[in-house]
Amino acid sequence: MRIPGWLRWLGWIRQWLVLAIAVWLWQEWANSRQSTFFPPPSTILSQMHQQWFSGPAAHLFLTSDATGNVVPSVVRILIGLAISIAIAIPLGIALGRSAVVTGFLDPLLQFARAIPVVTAAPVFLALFQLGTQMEVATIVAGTIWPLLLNTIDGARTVGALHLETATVFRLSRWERLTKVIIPSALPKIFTGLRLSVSLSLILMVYSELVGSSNGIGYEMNSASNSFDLPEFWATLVLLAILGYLMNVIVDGVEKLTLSWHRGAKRFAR
Amino acid sequence: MLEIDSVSRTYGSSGTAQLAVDGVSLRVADGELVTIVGPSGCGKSTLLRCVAGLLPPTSGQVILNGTPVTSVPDGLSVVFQDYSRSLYPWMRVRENVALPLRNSGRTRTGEDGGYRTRVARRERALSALESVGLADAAGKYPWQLSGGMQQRVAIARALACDPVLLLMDEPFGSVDAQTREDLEDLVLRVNAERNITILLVTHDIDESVYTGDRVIVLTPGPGRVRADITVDLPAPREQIATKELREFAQLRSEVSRLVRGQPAPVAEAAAHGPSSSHEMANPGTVS
Repeated sequence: MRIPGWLRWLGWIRQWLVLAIAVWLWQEWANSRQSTFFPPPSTILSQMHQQWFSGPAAHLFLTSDATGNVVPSVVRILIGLAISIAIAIPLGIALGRSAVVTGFLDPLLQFARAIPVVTAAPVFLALFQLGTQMEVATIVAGTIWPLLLNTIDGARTVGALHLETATVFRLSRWERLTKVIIPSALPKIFTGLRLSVSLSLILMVYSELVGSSNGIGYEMNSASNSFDLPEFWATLVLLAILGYLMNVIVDGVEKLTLSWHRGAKRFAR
Repeated sequence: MLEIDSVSRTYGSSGTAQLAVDGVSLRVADGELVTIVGPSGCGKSTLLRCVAGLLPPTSGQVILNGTPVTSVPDGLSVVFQDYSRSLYPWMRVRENVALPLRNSGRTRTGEDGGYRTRVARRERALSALESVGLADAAGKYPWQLSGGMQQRVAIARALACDPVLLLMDEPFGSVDAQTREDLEDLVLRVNAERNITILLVTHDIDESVYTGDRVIVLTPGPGRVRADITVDLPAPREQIATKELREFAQLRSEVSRLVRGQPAPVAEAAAHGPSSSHEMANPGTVS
């Protein structure tokens, strides 16, 4: 059934209506209070525009502040997540398919996961160079666990009959891995990825607060130290937008790769 | 020729060991359709898994065409009862059917291995789907189909690689009665047209008699062969006409009694004349 265009617009409007009203209420309230600590959204927006998006057209309107602080932060998140994914997914699948090894390693994994990464920051400061290296290490150290544990779980819980079917039909080891085990573990892997992605934002900010000379977290820290509240709020809003965009991207990728999963779940009563 | 040679299978370790199959011997000629029937828990599925090479027997052995079965043998296909857990939901129907073809499927023609090219596999899968009447569903996902259609896909997948031996583990246990009859006829047709040896496990007595050339009745667990009955119903079988026959009713009653372990009434045994069946004097040894 085709959904008519106007109805889709209606859905879109409904989705954003509450946010729009909240922003508007905030605007009215902040204007009436004239509070230094809670600038109105219009001030925050113009601050954001002026700080990051008023650059020359040749730089896609990005200011030097944007390329000097926002870009490094985003790059750190992307590198951190890429390393986590590259380690956690192959390792998780290997561990998930080997009950014996996982049995040995499970206590270790559970302990390592339970350590709040932020408390380990001094260790990373000692181990890695201040700056991007240490920040990426912090992001990896935090985001790897949800991914690893969910991948292990996904690989471990491949249906017994799915595997037996693979044996009966003489699938090669490679086919067994790529056509049965990985697709079957993918929904759980995405659950882990979602958690890791939202963690990565927090860890990026945190690591930049601790030891960095640029980045969104650094910018936020210096803004709050110099009581530049519009700038502080601008970085907060920017973080919210970044988090939202990352979620949208994960959603999109998931929709592309796991359409069968949504469908199968819907059809299973 | 499939030879099952005093196969036993025990589950668990010595202290709590549970004997599931106890010295079952059976010979199945090429192209024969043998049904195995018995109460639930009689080890039918265990026996089938031993034949498939999925489970090593604790003692005894399975020999397929002269070669002892130690792992899944070439030319074997299986249709499981639980189609929804056996078909891969992340693959389209066509891909599900084509998947085994890379590594198997040419055992009959004597060529080594499976279908080399993607195109060849795809064509083979489509023709297998066509043979079970599902050409239109090739592009769908299994979960978009009804239970009966999904089991048809599983049958198409099993047939696509042109097996010499097809094992069916209660294949129609979870489809409705009408679909079940259609699928039984599909199996009979496949058996007749392609000369595939079929071992079909079921708990449905009508089904065992209607589809089988022979019916093997197992005792309640641990499974032993209680009787090996030759079904002499005229071919081709037909759901209504065959089941109206006097012989069908007699065979059905006979198998029913054997499954329940009741003795045959003397009068009827006499009426049956020179019996086409022979009950095992000593269950467990079949020549």
